[in-house]
Amino acid sequence: MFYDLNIALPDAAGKPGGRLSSAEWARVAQAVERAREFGYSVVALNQTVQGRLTAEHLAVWRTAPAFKDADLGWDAATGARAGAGAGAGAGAADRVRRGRIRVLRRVTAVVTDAAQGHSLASAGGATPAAEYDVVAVRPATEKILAAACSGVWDVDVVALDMGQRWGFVAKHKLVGQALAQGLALEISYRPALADSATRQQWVCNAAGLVRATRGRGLVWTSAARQALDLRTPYDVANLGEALQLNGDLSKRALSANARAVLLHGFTRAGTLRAVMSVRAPRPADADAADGAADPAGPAPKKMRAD
Amino acid sequence: MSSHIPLPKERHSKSKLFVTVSSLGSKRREHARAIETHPFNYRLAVVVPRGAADAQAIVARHVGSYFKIRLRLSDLIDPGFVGSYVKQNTLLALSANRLIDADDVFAVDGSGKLILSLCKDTYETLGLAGRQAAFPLQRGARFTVEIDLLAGCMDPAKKHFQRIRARLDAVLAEPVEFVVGYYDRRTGAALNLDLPGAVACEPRVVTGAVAGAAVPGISDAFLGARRQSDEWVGQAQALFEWIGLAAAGSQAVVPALAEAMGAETCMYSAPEPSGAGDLAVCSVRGLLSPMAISSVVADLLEAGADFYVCVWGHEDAPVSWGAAEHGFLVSGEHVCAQAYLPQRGRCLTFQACGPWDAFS
Repeated sequence: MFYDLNIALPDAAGKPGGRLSSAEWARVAQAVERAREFGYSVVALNQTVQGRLTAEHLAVWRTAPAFKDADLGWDAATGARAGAGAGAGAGAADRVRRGRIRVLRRVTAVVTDAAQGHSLASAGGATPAAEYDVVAVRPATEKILAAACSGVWDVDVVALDMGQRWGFVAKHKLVGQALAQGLALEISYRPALADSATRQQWVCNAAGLVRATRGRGLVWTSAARQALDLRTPYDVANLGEALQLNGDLSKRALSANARAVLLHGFTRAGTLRAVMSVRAPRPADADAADGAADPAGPAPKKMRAD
Repeated sequence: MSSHIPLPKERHSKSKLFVTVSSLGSKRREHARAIETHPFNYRLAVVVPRGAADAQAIVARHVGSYFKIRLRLSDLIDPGFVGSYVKQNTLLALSANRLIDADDVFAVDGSGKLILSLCKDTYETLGLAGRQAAFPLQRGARFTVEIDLLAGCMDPAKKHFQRIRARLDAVLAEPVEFVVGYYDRRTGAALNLDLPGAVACEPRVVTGAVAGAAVPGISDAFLGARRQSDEWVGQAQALFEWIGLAAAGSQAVVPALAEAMGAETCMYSAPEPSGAGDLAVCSVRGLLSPMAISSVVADLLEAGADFYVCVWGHEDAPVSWGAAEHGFLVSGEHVCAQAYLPQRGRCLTFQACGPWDAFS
């Protein structure tokens, strides 16, 4: 399965209580539809938040329409995560039915102050961050990057801005800390399709990240704002050659590593300190249990002859 | 001139082109084995000099129909099915519209072996013993389970069979769409698959012509070379490229058109020395049995003129030549191109594999 864990929502979605117009949602739906045609099985819609994440940021998901041939990872009416309760979200990494696509929620917090990072804590499912399948952080400075990589915040992905000059170098030791914590580092390819100056910066940043990670723990994403920004998984894997990322690692960044991010997200939000997870009984199981108590339900094992 | 030394696993991440020069009368039959050991083919193109042979009639005579059908995996191991189809004749089956790098892929390879190429999750749930797939290079990401349908232990009374059927029914119970070819074991002729829901499909035969093409001359020095020199490798690659273009019916092999474009435009040029000739191209698409392709080649050899054959394998097949494991990195190609030179009794065979193909 191929994953694209970043289809960007418009900037308005990142404001507290923000809403998207039907035209904006239509553009997102078009991108999701294109991703399905390109062979992606799972996509995540990315809401970029400046600073602290609050419960009001969740309002935008209640306005989402139904997407064609897509299974949403949340309840469109209430905005709650699908199958709410402990264990919710484990299905995010499950297999997707043929011809369909799973749409998940992701939040990327642009953090400029270390104090803002604590709003991303999931705390066993009681905070806004626990409602998201993927939580990413975009560090603005090297100090914030060090905090993100050390694992003190409950995040799944470190998403540096690939089209901008960072002002620091991603060091192997620092990045290695993130990898040891099970975090992934994101390379989004939309800046590689922009103007020549942005492209140049993208190559510099992405190659630096590949060098620092030795190609491990990377996740390719599109950061697409429209359908035209998307590329097929094999085109993206080929793009890795430009960064001296071999085909195997490049393809892993689209599949196995992205799946690991979803499982990390499940562990963050659906388990208590990654020790215990309780899955609510499925309706079929509940019916079976009810049936056992109902005298008219199951047939007796031995029938009386008379 | 082929390399028969198995390559180390990491070397399979690059595309490979194996070139074999063989004698048509040789007992090793390397040219024939390149076709016979490759079960899953979806396209055949034949390039003959115009008037030398009726390629369309020959192809239409040997290539028969195949079927599309939805089957459960437990149907494939059913003793009735195995007894009627797999034991009696040759059955080829490949799951349709499934990606070898992202889905579970199932195939019956013509020798009575059911191959399940499974993702990690499916394999762990299935609980049948298999081996770790060579591709992807990531350890434990994919597994292959092989079930010999003709083995004595595939008896409904035996526990081995009962366990396989129980696991397939429990985990892979959904019907899967298959492309199935059923062929006579001795003649290779397509037979009727008498199963409910089977839809017969006729392979599409398309003909074309390339007039005034530059046909490369293959020198005796090239055919008789004992050692690979850079020049020899260059000539072999140029010839492989030309066969591919001719098989696609491309007008790029016509030098007059290149000259008309002017010297400023960069155009393809055929390998030198070359002579002018009119070519007839006949191609067919569908599930093509190796025996049918062999029969087409045998009939064309009787005509006595030089001809070229190009066979494309299914990109998402779990095996390529000689049951070598086949994967898909960024391309799943496994192509066989051959230049038959009956008057000189030689054949030049090119076997091209994309990355992640264990054939070597």
